[in-house]
Amino acid sequence: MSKKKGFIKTLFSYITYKEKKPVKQFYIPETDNEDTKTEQEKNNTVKSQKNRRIKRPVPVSESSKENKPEYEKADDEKISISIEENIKYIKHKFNSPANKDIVIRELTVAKKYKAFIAYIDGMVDRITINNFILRALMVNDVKIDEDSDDKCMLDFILSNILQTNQAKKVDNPDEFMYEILSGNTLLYVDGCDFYISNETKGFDKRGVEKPLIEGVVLGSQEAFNENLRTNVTLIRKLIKNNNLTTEFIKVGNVNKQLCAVMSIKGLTNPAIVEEVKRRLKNIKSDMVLGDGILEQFIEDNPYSIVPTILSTERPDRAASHILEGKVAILVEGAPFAKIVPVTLPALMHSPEDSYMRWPYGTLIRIIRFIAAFIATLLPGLYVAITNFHQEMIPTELLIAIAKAKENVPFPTIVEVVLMELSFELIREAGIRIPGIIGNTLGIIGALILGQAAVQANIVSPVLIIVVSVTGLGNFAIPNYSLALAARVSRFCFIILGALLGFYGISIGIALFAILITNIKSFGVPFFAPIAPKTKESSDLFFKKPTWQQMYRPDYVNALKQKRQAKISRQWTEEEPKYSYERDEEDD
Amino acid sequence: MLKVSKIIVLLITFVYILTGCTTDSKNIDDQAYAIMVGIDKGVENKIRLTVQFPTYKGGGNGSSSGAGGGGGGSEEKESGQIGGTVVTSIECSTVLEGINLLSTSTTRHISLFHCKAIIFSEQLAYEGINFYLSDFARFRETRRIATIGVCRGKAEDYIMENKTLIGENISKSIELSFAQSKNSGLFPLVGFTNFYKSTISPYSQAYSVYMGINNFKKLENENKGQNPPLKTDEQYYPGEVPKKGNKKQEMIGTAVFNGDKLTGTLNADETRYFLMIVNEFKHGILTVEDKKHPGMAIPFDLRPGRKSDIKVRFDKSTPVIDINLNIEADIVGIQSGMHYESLDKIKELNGLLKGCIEDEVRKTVEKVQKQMGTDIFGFGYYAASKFLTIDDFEKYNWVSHFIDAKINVSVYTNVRRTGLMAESMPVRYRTKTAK
Repeated sequence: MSKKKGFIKTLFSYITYKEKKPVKQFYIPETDNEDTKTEQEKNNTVKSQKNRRIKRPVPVSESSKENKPEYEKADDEKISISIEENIKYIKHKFNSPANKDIVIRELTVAKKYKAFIAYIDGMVDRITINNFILRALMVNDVKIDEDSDDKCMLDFILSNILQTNQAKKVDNPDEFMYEILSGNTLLYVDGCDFYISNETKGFDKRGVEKPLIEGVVLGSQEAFNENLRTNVTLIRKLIKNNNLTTEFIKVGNVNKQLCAVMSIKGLTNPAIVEEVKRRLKNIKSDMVLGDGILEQFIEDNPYSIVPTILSTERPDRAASHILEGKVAILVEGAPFAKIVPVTLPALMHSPEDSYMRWPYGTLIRIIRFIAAFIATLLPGLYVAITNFHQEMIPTELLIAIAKAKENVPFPTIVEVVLMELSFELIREAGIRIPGIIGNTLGIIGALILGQAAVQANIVSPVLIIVVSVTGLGNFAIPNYSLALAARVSRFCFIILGALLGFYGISIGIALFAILITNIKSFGVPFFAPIAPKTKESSDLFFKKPTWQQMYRPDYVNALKQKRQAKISRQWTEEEPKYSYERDEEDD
Repeated sequence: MLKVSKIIVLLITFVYILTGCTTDSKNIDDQAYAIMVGIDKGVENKIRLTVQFPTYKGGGNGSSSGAGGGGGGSEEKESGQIGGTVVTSIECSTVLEGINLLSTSTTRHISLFHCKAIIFSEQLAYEGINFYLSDFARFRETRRIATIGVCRGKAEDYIMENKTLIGENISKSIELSFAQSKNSGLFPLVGFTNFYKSTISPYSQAYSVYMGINNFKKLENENKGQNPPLKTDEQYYPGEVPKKGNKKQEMIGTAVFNGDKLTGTLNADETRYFLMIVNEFKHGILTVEDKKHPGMAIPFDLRPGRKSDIKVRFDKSTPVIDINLNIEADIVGIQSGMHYESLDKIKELNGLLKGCIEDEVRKTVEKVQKQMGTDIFGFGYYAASKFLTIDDFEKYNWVSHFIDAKINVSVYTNVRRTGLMAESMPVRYRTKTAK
């Protein structure tokens, strides 16, 4: 009986409500800025005893203007003259010993002066430190003037002993922290109130490789990599001019990304450079990673569908734009240069246009403009024609389409959206799928999907052509962001075409024209050489021969408008010189 | 930026409201596209409408046909003849009414977007076709470049014969058969808009292609005489060409209108000379009898050398029209073997051709002017420049005065090329050499 009862009880237990046992689960507690602050204050007592101004904690309610998280900012104005205090300070700043990245190596210079070097493991080049800092300091005992009365030996060490190529005095805590973070090595000798920062950057980086998305047939095959120095050098290699100026600006409160602003002094309009610097300096954000994020912080029209900043991975393209009087922005960690200001036609150009003789360059450029037109409008036009304007199709084709569509149960618009979506799916998946499969997936996926869709009577074969030609057109747009814009706007045009036919597409084009003419890129109207009309460009749709391109683009207002002499091929003006006498029969 | 997005939203909303959403949108396969429309005089009602539209089935096997009127033959025969298309006839009061009525038995909406030709029967054309034309003119779906034709006999019969023998595609074969006008110069080609404009125009009057059915009865089987004479004239009307096989449809000659009423027709030869005057003659072969060797022919390959030069002036109150034609010719053959290519003889040949063409052009113009009294040549356009205002011209009423006009024709011919031979060589026989 009792057994049976127990059984019924268990049975009941399955269907009756039971209170859940409280289980402790991990959660992220909400932290008050106040709390962390008080903790920090406690820690502050440990720090060096210099008369420091203690920052009053700002309540959250008051800090509405700038929501600065309270990271342990180096609030010190001066550097202690005691080595212990400094070691303690650095350790505290870098959360040592919890943080294992920071290395502090103590040593004695000339058996007399206590010293230490500090660096971040992995960011530095060990050989430089071992051979040219440590060995130099520890071996060259003789050099050090023992009778020197100087309390601080660092000056002497800097000028006599250190064998690193870049070494400088640093006396600002903020600054020395940045030096350590960027892979340099700090040297401190007891009794001094400054550090010496040695250039020892030695982190791993990618080599200079071939361009991946801006490949050309004719032209250089170098692309930027993630290292800012390398990128700047790649440009400088192409512009050997002492006026090529690189200015560095740190962006981002937490990650302190280094940005390089490159321009040619005396050629680039200084207003552009100033504006770029102003915008970069005024980004108040914790994180600016890479140039894609930076672009969104500094562009003129964040709501515009087309990009207003040109992004290139080719040093030669960046160099050519700099020489036109534009400004290049390079960001540490991104293999791209951002060019400002740019116009829409410039986005449609490819570096290859200039490398080819002008008839070929012109033809290819025209094809590219047609491609952009197709990529944006073709599916929309197809939908409009098949739904509203059947009289525009040749009768043979019309009947062929109708025959092919006979067994397709969906209206045209559903077919188009279906195919466009699956095409986008293939593209997106093709990028995400790793390795070799990724490359083949695009072709195979499109083939199989298209073929199967036609055989299964889900879409009509003409549509496969439309969608694939659209896809090809999209790939022919040289700027990736612009191609994305075409992808987005394509869907708008499909909807407009489905709703209102050609009328809708005309409205769409008019709206696009309004939007595009309305936006600016660093003060330059985005549609510049066309609307507003500026001086006739020799390099817009049709490309004139290079030797005829006398002026820089008008819209950048470069300090030197002329870029080459009126007769740039001076040799045509003079008679050829021969060192031998020509016979009359010679020709 | 917010403003712009507001504007976009507003625009789209307005667009929706103003256009009544998308009721005009129709899928391609939701419609059947009439490729040929024929209008006959009705028996019980005003007209009998015949519509032909292609089916969406592969090949020409599964076509059904002949819902309403009936082409005369059995159903099997009909379906076999009209490959890949459906031909249906209906009696109705107006054209569009008829198409509307047809919807009751057709599975799809019949659209006139791709109507290649509108064919009127001769009988109806004599009575006037403006009622039907103006319907088409107002209707949005009419294809404005549809060819207008007048059919000898019933339009229905003509459409029943409308099939393709060479290719598979009926619409293509229709278009190409119309384009033959440029190759042969034996029938004109007039689109709907131009035709309609001419019926209401004070400058010129309408003409159209004349078509009909050839029952292959003109081809005599028995050889009656020993030597048939050389006939270089082609005074054929539709259905009269002595031939056998091929399509029964025949487009040859011109239907001449006075306003919207048919007044007469031109045969093949006359059509050629008429087309020369209106600049529509592009190319054609003309055979001329060699006067020095009667019974021998000289075929020429004709093409216009210049546009026809037409001048209208007023001698007191009678209009005088000067027509200057410039025709170029290539020699296709010289049967007599005369050395006409030589520089002194080529003038002779020129004169022969000039006389022939000039004569025929004059006859054609006279026929149109005196017998039919309509200005299908569009001389009114040239005459209009002699009036100060359009009002004056319209008051003068050119169309009524044209019949009194004095017309001078002069033709300049130029035999430019001799073909691939510079001289015809005589044939050698065993015993002699032909002269």
